[in-house]
Amino acid sequence: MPKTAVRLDSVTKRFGTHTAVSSLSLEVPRGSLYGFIGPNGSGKTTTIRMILHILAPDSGELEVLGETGTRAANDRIGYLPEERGLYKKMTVRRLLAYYAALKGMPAGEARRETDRWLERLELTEWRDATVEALSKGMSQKIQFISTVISKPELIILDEPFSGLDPVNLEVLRGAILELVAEGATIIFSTHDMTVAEQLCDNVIMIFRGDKVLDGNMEKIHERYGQDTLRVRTDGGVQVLKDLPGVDQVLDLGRYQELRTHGDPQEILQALAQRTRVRHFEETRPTLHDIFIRIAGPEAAQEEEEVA
Amino acid sequence: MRKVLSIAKAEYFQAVRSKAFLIGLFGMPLLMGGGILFQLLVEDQVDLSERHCAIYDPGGELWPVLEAAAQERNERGIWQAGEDGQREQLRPEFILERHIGGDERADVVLSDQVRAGELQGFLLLDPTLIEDEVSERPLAYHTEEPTFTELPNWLEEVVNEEIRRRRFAAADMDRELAERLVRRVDLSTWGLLEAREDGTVDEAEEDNDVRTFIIPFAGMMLLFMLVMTTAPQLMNQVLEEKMQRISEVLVSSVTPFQLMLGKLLGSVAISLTLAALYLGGIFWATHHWDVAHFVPAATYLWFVLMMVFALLMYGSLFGALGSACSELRDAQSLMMPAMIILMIPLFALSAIVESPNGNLAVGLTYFPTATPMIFLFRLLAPPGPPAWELLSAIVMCLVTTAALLWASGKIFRVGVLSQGQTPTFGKLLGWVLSK
Repeated sequence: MPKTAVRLDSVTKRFGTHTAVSSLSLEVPRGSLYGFIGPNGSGKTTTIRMILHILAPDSGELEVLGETGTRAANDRIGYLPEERGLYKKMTVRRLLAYYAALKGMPAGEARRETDRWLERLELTEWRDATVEALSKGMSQKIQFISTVISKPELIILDEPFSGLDPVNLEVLRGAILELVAEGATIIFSTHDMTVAEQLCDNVIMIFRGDKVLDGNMEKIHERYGQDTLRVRTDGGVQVLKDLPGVDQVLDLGRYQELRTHGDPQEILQALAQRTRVRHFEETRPTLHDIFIRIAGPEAAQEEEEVA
Repeated sequence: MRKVLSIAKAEYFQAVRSKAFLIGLFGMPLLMGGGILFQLLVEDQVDLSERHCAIYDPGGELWPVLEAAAQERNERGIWQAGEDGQREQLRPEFILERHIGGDERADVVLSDQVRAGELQGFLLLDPTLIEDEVSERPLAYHTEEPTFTELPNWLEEVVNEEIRRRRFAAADMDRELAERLVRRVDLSTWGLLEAREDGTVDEAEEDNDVRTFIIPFAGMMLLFMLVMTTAPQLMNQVLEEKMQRISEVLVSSVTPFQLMLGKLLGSVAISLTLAALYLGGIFWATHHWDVAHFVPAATYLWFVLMMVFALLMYGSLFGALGSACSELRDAQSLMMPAMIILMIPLFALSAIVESPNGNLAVGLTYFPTATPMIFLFRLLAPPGPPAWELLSAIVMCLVTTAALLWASGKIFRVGVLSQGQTPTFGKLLGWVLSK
């Protein structure tokens, strides 16, 4: 079995004059939880659709679960798209049986998996209910089950947590981590970099169709260092102005984040002379910070506009 | 193919378990049968209110005749003996009133009376009526309700009968003799005889409307309704899956063509179920009332074959259009041209009835999407198409079905994931021709 679940080599996709994905290369290792991050409209969904052979690339090569250029691997892939819906008039059990059948799963095995997942996500009593009778959170959990019911080797989740309440979010997060522990490869696409940072061990960052960051989270953090301080003072954001060794101040309300180039001890001393320091913490730059550094301040504004 | 069948199975069971299927199953015969039943019921429900009519007969020659005829009709012509011995009124009474002209124009005065609801209408008799050279309007009936024709027809008949009587009398001729001399001889239409090898002859059967028109028309209408029950539904289903964002999950598991084919086969299965029930009902009814010879067994087979072709053609067309739309409103605007294509056989019906094997009927048979319905009509209408057409029509159906499946598959492939503005027909053609 190849060590790589997905490999893209210089893949490009254009829609008319717009280049959605530009010469993208990446490798998703088997068994990893791999984050596709970037603002909306950056080319993540197009890349996923090419992996699924829903769209064909204009140039470049794709290899998915050892298959090159065909849909042969699609039965071994589970896909939860960003924009998703269910057949409202179908019962939960029939719906899941249908999705399993489309992946070529035998009916008996599909029934067993349905029961197992409904129990795992505490939905057993809803198995004979029609989808329209379910709450939004329950529907999203059923959508998740429909993605993983066929025991896929590769699971692609496009914004799986959007619109979920915190309780259901934790339930799904647990289920995803369980699938990784069982050996599945998960591609997790999101514009929410905080979530990706918490979950993924590898990320690829796409911006305007180009790959701007790719690698292991630890290595990314090592590369971008620990140049961020989180402080809370009685003087607030005003006292941070022109503080020696500080390049940038981000006001988060109760806290401020400082990007620095100097010695943190010297910055603390300078700050203590100005005001009473309530909190002072050396921290790593977030993926969001890294994204801003790579793509420039205008990218942050663009990201806010499309989000 | 297993996935295609999974889709077809899901579509089929989803449909036949729905209330809409039951409504459609009983709704269509109820609508057709109910319409006929309603006609039969209301046929006997006659408005028996008196109809007043003024007669303006300046010469006064015909008034006594009309008055006497009305009296005779009202006393004897509109009644029948009921079961309980009581008389039962069948038609409304006609109450005639003679209008004597005054200073004002008679037709103006009487028009006001009609408007006031005092009269159903009035009849103007021109004095030239009884002469050889009549005026331009010898007998004019004025009314606000021209749809009620029983009264003017009766008036016309009474006046004409009297005039004929007078003419015969003036000519001193025996009317009964004259009528006997000009009596018509009726023509009846028969089929052909066939001599057998043993010397006997199969006698010809007299043609009747059941064989020549009702059966072919009913067969074609049943096919049309079955197509209408399922094909436009396919458009709604595809559009609904797009709007509810289900399509993308589906095309990650199956190809768009497999998805479309699965849905089409599901639709065919739904229609076959409906057809089995309806054709079963027709089979039973024709045997029960001993008219099975009007609908030979081959008719059922041809019906099913043409139905499958029609469903594949129209289903793929409607499915492709559904995939190209993003909103219900857009689908409705695209549906209109598709419906017109579907209805071409109905528009051409009168020409085909007139001459089922004429050039026009044969030409229309090979208009691609019209073949199943028109050919079915021609098959059922005596004498039926020539033998070579049995093959050529099937070939035409196969070619059209294959072409539509191919073109629809191309549209479906692009359309099912497209969002936003509905494409024009030019753009759809571009999708078909794209690689």
